[in-house]
Parts: sequence; structure tokens; C-alpha cells
Amino acid sequence: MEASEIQEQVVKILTPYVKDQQALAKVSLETNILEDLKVNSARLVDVVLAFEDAFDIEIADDDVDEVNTVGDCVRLISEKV
Amino acid sequence: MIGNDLVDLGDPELAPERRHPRFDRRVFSRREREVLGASGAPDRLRWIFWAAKEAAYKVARKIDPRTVFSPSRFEVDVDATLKGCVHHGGDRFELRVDEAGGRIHALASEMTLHEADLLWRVAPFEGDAQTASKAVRALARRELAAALDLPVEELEIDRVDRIPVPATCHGELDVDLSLSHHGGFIAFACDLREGASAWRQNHGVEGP
Repeated sequence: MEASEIQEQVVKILTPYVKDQQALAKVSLETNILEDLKVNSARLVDVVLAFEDAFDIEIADDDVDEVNTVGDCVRLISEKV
Repeated sequence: MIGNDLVDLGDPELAPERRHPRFDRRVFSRREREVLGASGAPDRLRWIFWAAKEAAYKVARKIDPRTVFSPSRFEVDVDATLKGCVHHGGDRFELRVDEAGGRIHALASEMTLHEADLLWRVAPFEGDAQTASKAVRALARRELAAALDLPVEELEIDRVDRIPVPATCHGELDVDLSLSHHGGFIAFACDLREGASAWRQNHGVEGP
């Protein structure tokens, strides 16, 4: 799967949880999920579970701890698919 | 060290139908899931557990920046008075939960929590997610400045490795602070124990 496809899917999964629509409109690989998109930390659990379902992968908490940006998500998922 | 966390129970995002079916298995230990299963108010208890885990994580990370937020590894034990503890590995964090007005506020510390040493506030907040961070800092500055008898304009809250650090023009204030916001509420908690006393002594300021 191409990184661009993964990014597109990542943004699609994140979208319902985003509280800053302006930040979402200019989302990039550098966009911080908690600080820029204002995704609530409890909802981040749901996001990670949705990633697992969408890409048929398992993501450990230790991996989640390394994820801050959309680009981090894309890199992590790329390593696992 | 102190950590706090806040949950606005009125946030529509917390509705059970919005939660992923594997959320509980991912976040809670087997024992916590059993307690939730036996509870008459599992949704309320679920978010008490969550706030407690987040608050304890904030303390753990101050002690060891390598700490990973793996929610199920922060195991919460809380009694009917909403006091208890959070266990993480071999560490134990004292826990105090305050529930009022549709929100839950958790305080955790690796030491015994004494009311006289604590400064904490929860306030309603009407802005959006973009301005909550600024609002909680303003609340903490105002209350901390009053407690330490400092002009509020001299007090800043810096951020070092995602940890809020109060400072004045004289340098960092050795006061331990934790900030949180969620939905319609903002909250801060401050441990005034040693740091503030030392600062007051150094600067000839009388305590509150």
C-alpha cells in the first residue's frame, strides 16, 4: 500500500474525532493529532482501534506512545501492513 | 509531584455508542473490567478510571520521562468516597477524585495528598478546543499568583517537554503544576509543598 493511500485513510479515520476543523483543512504529515487537531486523548484510543480494524494490524501501546503527528501514523502503519 | 485530569461527562463524544467495541479491553485491566461489569453506573465509573489513569500517568512521566501511557498498566483502585490509588509497575500513586456538576476531576501523587499543600480549581469554560489551553493557563496563573502573593503579570507558565512549569523573571518557580481541560471545563492542580516554600524563603515572600 502506498504511503499516500495510508495517509488518505488515516485522515479519513481521524476526521470524526477532530475538534479543530481549520487545522484539518490544512492537514499535513507534520500535523500534531492532539495539539493541532485537538483530538481528545480518550478518543485517541478509538482512533488507534479504528486503525487496527482498517489496516488489519495490531498496534501496541508502546507504538502509540511514539505517535504524535499524522506522519507518525503513516510511518507506523506502513511498517505493519 | 502532582497530576490531574478532567472529564466532562456531558461531552457527547463520551456516549457509549461512540466508543469502539474494544475500548474497555484496550484501556482497562481484567480486574477493572470486572468492577465495571458489576457497577450500577459503569459509564460514570469508566471515566473515573480514565481520569485516574491519566492523572497518575502525568505524575509517572514527571518522575520518568520514558514512561509510556499504556492505560491498562495503570490500574485504579477507588473506594466509594472516591479516594484510592493507582498502581503502575511497582509504583503506587495516591488518588483523589472529585465529582460535581457533571464533571470528574482526578488528582494523583506519588506522595500522600494533604489538603493544605494543594491548590486546585475546576472552572466552567465556554470557549472551543483551540482556546482551552490558553484559558487553563490563565486560570492557573491567576490562582497561583494570588496564593504566592505575586503580581499575576510576573508569572508565566512555560512548557518543558510537555510539562507546565511556572516561572517568573527570576527563573523557574519550583512549584509542581498540572493542567487539564475537557469540553466545558478547565482545571489545574498545584503541589505547594516544598517548591513554593523554598521559593517564598528565597524571595522573602510570606506564605498564604
